[in-house]
Amino acid sequence: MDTITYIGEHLLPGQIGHTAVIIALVSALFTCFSYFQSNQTRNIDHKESFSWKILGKLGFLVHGISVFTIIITTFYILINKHYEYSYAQAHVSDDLAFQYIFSAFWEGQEGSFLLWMFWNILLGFVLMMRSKQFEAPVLFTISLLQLILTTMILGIYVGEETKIGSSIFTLLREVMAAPVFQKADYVELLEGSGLNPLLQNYWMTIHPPTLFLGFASTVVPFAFAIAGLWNNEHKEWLTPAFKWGLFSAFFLGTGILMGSAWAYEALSFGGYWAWDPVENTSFVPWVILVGAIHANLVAKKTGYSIRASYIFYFLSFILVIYSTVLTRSGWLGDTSVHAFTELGLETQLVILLATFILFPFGLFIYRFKNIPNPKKEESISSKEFWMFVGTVVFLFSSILILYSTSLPLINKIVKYFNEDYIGRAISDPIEHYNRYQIWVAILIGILSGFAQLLRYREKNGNSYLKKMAKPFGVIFAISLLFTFLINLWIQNPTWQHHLLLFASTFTIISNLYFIFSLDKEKLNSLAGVVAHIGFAVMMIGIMSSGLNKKYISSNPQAQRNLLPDNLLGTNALLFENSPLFLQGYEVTYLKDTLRGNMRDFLISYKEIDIESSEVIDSFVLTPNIQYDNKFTNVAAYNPSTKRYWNKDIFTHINLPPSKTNIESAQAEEDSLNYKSYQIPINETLTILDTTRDEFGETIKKLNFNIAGLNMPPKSKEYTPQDGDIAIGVDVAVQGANKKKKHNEEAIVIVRDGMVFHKNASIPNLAMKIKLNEKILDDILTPDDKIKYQQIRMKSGQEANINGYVITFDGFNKKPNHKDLKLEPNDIAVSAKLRITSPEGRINLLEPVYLIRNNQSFNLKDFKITEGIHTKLKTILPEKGEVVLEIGVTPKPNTVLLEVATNAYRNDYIILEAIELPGINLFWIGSVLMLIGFLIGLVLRMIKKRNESYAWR
Amino acid sequence: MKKIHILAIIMLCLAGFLFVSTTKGLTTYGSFADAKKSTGVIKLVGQLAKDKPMSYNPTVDPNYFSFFLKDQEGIQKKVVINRPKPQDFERAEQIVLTGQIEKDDVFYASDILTKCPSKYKDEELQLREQKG
Repeated sequence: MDTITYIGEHLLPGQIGHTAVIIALVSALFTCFSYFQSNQTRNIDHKESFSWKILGKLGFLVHGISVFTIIITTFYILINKHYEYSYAQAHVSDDLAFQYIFSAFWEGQEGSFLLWMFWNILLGFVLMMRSKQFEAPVLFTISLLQLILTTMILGIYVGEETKIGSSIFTLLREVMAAPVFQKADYVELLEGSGLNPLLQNYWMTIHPPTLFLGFASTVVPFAFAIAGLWNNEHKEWLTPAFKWGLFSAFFLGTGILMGSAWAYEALSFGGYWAWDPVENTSFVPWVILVGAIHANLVAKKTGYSIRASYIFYFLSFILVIYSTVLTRSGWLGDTSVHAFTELGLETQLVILLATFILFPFGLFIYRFKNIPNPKKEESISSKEFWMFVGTVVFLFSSILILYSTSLPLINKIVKYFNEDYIGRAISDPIEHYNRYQIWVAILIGILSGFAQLLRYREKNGNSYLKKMAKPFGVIFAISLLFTFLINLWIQNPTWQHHLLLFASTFTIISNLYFIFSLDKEKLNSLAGVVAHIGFAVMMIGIMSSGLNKKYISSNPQAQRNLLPDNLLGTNALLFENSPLFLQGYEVTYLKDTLRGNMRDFLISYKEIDIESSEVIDSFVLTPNIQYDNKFTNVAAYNPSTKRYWNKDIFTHINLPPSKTNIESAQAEEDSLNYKSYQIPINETLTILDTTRDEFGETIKKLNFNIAGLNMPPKSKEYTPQDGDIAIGVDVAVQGANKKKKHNEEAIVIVRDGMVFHKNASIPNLAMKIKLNEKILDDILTPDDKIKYQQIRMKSGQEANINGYVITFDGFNKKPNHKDLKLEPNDIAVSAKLRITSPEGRINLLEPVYLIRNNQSFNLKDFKITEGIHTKLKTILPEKGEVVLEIGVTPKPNTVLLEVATNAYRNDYIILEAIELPGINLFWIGSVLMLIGFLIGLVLRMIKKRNESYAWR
Repeated sequence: MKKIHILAIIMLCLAGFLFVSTTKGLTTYGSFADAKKSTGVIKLVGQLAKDKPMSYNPTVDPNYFSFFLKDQEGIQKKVVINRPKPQDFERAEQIVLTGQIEKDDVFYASDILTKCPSKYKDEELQLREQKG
């Protein structure tokens, strides 16, 4: 086979990128080795250790620069839309807005690995400067991770079959066999697939980087834990790990919450959390990390829980990797709505996971005996005891979530050993997880309210408890009172919900009491108080928005007896402009408008008081749909939400099948029975239309009237493009009852040599009207076939040509003509012509006379629908005259319309509207909780220098 | 015995209890034959039977969508779900249903998941229309 020499490929960025990947890999290995040597020689030869450390720093610097080079090169390819690279072809397209280049960058797996590596490097640079005696082991761990991550984007074949990693610089022709690659100039022919429209949302530009910063930063406390074990500095690592633990919990939590916000705004399920595997696997590391922070705090304050601190920090990072493995392997299969693409990295992912399980736990077992553990047990009335119980609860919560999430994987493993095994699955994820996690929430609520009032290293437990009996009693009573009051608002709670509500109010009251009454280390405790109150508020928000959730769009009476009661639908049908009364609201679908490739649907809501029938409140929501780039499919449905301080009204829509994709539309179009009618312009024609259906024959009397032709069409449904020839015709149709005149525009468009129709639709008459393309032949006359008549005119003069009265109204020295793009030194003048047609319509035309580079040009102005064409031939300045050329083309007297009178109604939307009371409590609570972490982090950073250990 | 041991025992019991009840709450994957035998909810994987009628007529009932599914044993049965027809339903390579068979021999699904060939990945290469 001949090798083809391709034209137009940009191979240089790929070569630079590939080289950078290799350097990144080698330098990561080198950094790893150097820091290892540095740490191993630290107590033997200080000088040697220092030299190795310098080498490590240099190695990491080179690694960082290489990874940045990879990222910059990738952006270069994406921004310049070099579709010869498969990553660019798969993730961007010509029309992608610049701000979404970032989303496109991390949409694919290779890009998200790079994002992860990017944060690791920034964190590594900070740690290189800040982690003092732990620099070598910490940076060793991070560069070990970087080493394995780099292999994921390596893209090198070992032998024929085995591929290591998937390169972001792979050329399309290397991964795809298509006839187009037989052409040397295939590059110009490629078109990008573009970014998934669901991801074209502002949350998607900030959620992934934040989440990945959270994911990436879990390696930092992990690395400090490794360092503590490795160097037998079991207490010293606790302080930096605590700070970084807070950092990581803050960013991971924020990232997850942003994901919730995106789901609530962009997805149609009307919620912020669905217990989807992708959500769970990012949530679990965070839960474990929060456990780790508690264990770490206990260890710092009391010396207990050092082992737990190690294990929890190890687990949180391992679970981040586990999450990576699950979501990138395709093993979750059919349990998630998220689309997973398999890159064949399974083996490498398992190696990554195994490395980071064996390494820390091996070290842990090896050093186990050296880890300090106080002989004396914690007192049962001490704070640390109950905090420890809390961390165990976190662990349980995580195990339960992980077990259920991993079911597909467990099924696969069991099936491998036992072929007859029937896989288990969760039938209703939300119900399933909530049922168990409610207990976790109850326990956490009670523990955080109770333990907050206890003291660390309690020696006089009994007398303290006696002293606290009264405040405890008061707090308990107040909490009960509030639980009762909130219960009046929450609907249909079970006793578990009552308990959770009590636990939440108890936490709030107890923490408030703590911060206002107990007088020690107030500022230090602020972080915990805010975070715990946030947690409790969030729980109340989850209950109120979940239990009080009301489907406005459900219409139980209208449901036919087709479905069992538990499957009653939550969607309502809304015809355009016919109000529907639903659950206390009068809902009307007003209209829809096209905006770019979006279509907005205006839906008006009027809340009506049932007794007085008065409108209490009214608002308009605009859910919209987004078409794909070719307008052939609806690519995304975007909900719209009305926000009140106390509730949200969430709305999303579905469209009639024929409006969702071109195949259904075509199928429906094909089923229509079009009949042709020659309809005179400006005259009313009455048609007797016979339709046959299952009920027999109906004869309808229809009056047609064509008011005029439009070029370009007037309708907003038509979006002009350069080079279009488009004609619209205004049709007025009146049914036999003569009640209402329907005015619509039918359009025909010639674009890139193809003919398109935009049919007029009159749902009330079940009618569709198509403008036959014959109209184009009728009125389009090539310019050389037009007979022009020359006339000379002075300003203000009139002339009559074939019944057209032409008045020359003087010159326009700043002409505006659609074909005129002025260049410097151009001289352009137009003649202002007022032309009255034989029918008496006035048209203003401005033919242009242009002098460019000493040559003169005439730009014609015309109005095809009036059959008039004008040119400004020359100007005779000495006489104050212009020489005009006027051409007249025939105007059609009739228009050929194709009319179908058996069209389906499609002037409706399918609406789902949900009222979510108290959902703001969820957002406020979760943000408060994150602020708690942030306060903790800032406080630690401020007093970092004079930190001391109480138990030393 | 240390308090920590008591705590550990309590926690283990609790864990055991939760695990058992978690497992009880789970369903299995099965076929239409299994669904017929079972009294509870089942998960079912199959493909759309393209030659059989599919009905979604929102003007009659926007919450009624029915189609025929061919399960992995090749048995075809009518499926009804109380929501609008999912996006790109015809293109789904695989359909995962949660639900049960009622007396009328129809599978009533409470949840449906359609796995589409990833729209933006595997589609045929899009080419520019050649000009001139």
